Amino acid sequence: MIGAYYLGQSYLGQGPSSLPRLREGRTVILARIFLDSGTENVSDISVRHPERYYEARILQWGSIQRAVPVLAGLPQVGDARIRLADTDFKFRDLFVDTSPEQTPLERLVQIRVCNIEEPEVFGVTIYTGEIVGFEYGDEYCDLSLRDITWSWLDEEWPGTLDSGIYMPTIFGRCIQNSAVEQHGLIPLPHIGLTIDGDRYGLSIHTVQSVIIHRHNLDGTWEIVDPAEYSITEDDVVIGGLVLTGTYIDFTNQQDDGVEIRADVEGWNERPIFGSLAASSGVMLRSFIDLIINIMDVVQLKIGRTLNLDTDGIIALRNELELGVDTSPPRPYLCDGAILEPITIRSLLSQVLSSATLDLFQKVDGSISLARPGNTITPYSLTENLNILEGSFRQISPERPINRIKCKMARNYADGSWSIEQLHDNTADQAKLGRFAPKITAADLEMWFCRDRYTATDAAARRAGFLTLTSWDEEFELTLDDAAILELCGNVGLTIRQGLAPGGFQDELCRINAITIDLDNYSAAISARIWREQELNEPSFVTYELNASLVVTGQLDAEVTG
Amino acid sequence: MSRQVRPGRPQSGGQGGVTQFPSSTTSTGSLTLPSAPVSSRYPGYVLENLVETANTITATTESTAYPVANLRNRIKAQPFRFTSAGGDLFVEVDLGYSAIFDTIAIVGHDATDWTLTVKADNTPTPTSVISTMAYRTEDAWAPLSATVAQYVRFEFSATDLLSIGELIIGVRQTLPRPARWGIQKGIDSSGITHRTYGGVTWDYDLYANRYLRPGFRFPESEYQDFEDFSTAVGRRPFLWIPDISLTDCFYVKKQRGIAPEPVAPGRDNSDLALWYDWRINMEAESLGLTISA
Repeated sequence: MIGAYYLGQSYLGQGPSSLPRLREGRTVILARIFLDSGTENVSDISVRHPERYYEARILQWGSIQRAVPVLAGLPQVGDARIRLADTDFKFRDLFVDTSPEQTPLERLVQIRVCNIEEPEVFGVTIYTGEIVGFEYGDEYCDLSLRDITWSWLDEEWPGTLDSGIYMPTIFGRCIQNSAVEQHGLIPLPHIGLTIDGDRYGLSIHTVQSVIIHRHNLDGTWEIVDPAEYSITEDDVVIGGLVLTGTYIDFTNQQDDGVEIRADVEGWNERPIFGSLAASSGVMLRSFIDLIINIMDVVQLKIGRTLNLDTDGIIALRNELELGVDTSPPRPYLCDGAILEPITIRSLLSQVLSSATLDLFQKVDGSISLARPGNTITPYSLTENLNILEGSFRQISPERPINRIKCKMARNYADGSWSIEQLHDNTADQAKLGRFAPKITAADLEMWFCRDRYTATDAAARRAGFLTLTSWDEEFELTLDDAAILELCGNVGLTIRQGLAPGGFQDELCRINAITIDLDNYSAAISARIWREQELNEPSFVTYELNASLVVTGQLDAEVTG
Repeated sequence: MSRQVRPGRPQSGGQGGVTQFPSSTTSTGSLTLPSAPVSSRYPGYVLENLVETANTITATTESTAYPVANLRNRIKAQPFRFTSAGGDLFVEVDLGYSAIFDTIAIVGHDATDWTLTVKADNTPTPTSVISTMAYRTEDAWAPLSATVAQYVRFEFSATDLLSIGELIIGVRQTLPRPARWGIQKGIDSSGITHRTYGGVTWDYDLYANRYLRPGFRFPESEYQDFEDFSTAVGRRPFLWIPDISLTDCFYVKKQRGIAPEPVAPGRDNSDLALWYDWRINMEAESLGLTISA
């Protein structure tokens, strides 16, 4: 039987097996096609399951890729294509069936890898996609599949009212940095006169607190007396989605040309999430809380429940609470706003890159989050047992970066970044320059970061992938080895060719891509070595883009209102 | 020294004894028995399966996922399955008319042993025993005296949950002579081997199919018999009995066409007639795999 067991643990899935890992045997690949007329079960060999029969119709499986970008961001999943034998015209008839009338398009296909000696339930779902097209040839049928796990990424984040006015989303402390020149950070859209007064839109959710600033017609700024307005929580209806939003209703109509801005302590509600209790009436500042809220809105919007790795996400939330390696440890703080139409893909990209987080799909199909680091126990892969002969390659970084310019503390009023904070890898700068340090810099836009310590840690983690010795490691494994590997997971490579004195001995790499060749029962792995970076001290390496700004406390201004 | 020419088709007449049950209909269908009893050592086959055209098939119990319809879908790997084991299992076939048959077979079963009684009659729930088919792994067959009946009932006693790939009731045809060189058999298997840098190999067995390659040497006068056999079976699966005196049987497909090699006259016979060598390549249908829930 296949290499399905390892060190007393099931190698595929989590089956409670005590069998030794063997090197001969059979792994089966099973597919289920969910047509309206019923589920068609197919494989490349006849497989009898107690509840269903898998017909041996698959002529070609093709390959499937799962990937995340090397630098923090969103997942990428390739399309898939499978070829079915149809000499008996079964699928021809199904595709044009009139009783019931049906189409195969947009119907789901699930592909699983199972060990024939283990219960099917212990198998691994390696792909779930919908049929986006098919080609019918000489008694065969090619199904083109597209992954649907992430189909919601291209939905628009709710905010645009029927009137075309965009209601903001505000998370964390969105307060203008200057303590002496308060102008308000968030410009508010004017909705107009309502029964409640002269209405401005604040957010599509409830907020913790708000201070209103007014730019008068004579050019002066003032903090508006709260007696002039009320903060109204009311339904916001956007494309059929009903959310509890927040409005600012002035008792008196504001003059034409007056600009209203706000400093806001933002979103203050989070739903129950796995074992995490709901939160209400407290300003949220955790990146994970923002992502949980985003997912909650997404599920409302698309009308289905996402399969979320709640335990893993909560564990990461706890880690980020003490996420910045200072003494004492400081939390990762998330502060930012959305003020114009944006897709969920772009929104998440902004959030994830602000904290060097990755969103990815686990082998069990659930959506999870991770951040680079050496706290994830690596999965050991050796040249002796795992890495296939002739497949190992190491590639130097395309462009090593030894300085990251963190653009942070977005000023939404004037569309600029308030702070540029640097992360320097001085060792690499010295190594790269022949006679003097050579700086190669890249910008990092941190849309949801206003806290310098958060930026320091996030930048250092990102820089760990950009050093002179952050090699890309590419190699192939058997299907069994690869099927259980998680994206963003760490592997420890042991191989003599490794670019280190004596070769690699448990060299830590992070997996960025897994391309499974189902016809060849193998998979190509792409991983990058992550080198831990020393944190730069924020107070020594930062400066203000606007030197006139005065900063206090956590280097954010306190609202004195 | 002259060589003796072997007969093309066994001669000796008559249809032999036929077990004929009182019939409600008179038709015996399109099948007819071979004109002569056949000597041992000859290979036989059943192509036309009366179960495929039967009116109904009923069983003690029937798995939803594996219905009795699977008993006649020509896919050995896709079985019918009872939902219980024990001593009172049956499958009863209503052939639709009083049909003549002399062979029954059960292919692609997963029983480890059984007690099987086969009964036939022209009324439902037949009681006349026509065979107690002996157990054989995976595929089993039994010769019958020629029987005419509409209902055939297979009564099992099995300790395990029983699956059956195909049920075959039909008339056995024979080729005009035994295989010349015995039957070459074996298993073709396909797989993928991966090797690590350390030289450790990981092997994936993809599939394994039993093959049979009996060889025949026959004279021109028998050519048409072999061609008829080849044309009739085409690429359809059929029951192949390598030696009708033995218990072995296989559910096979034959390689397309017939391409015998001419043998020089005089080498193997004395009449200078043209002879042929033909090795029939047959591949047994796979039993597939079983996975638990």
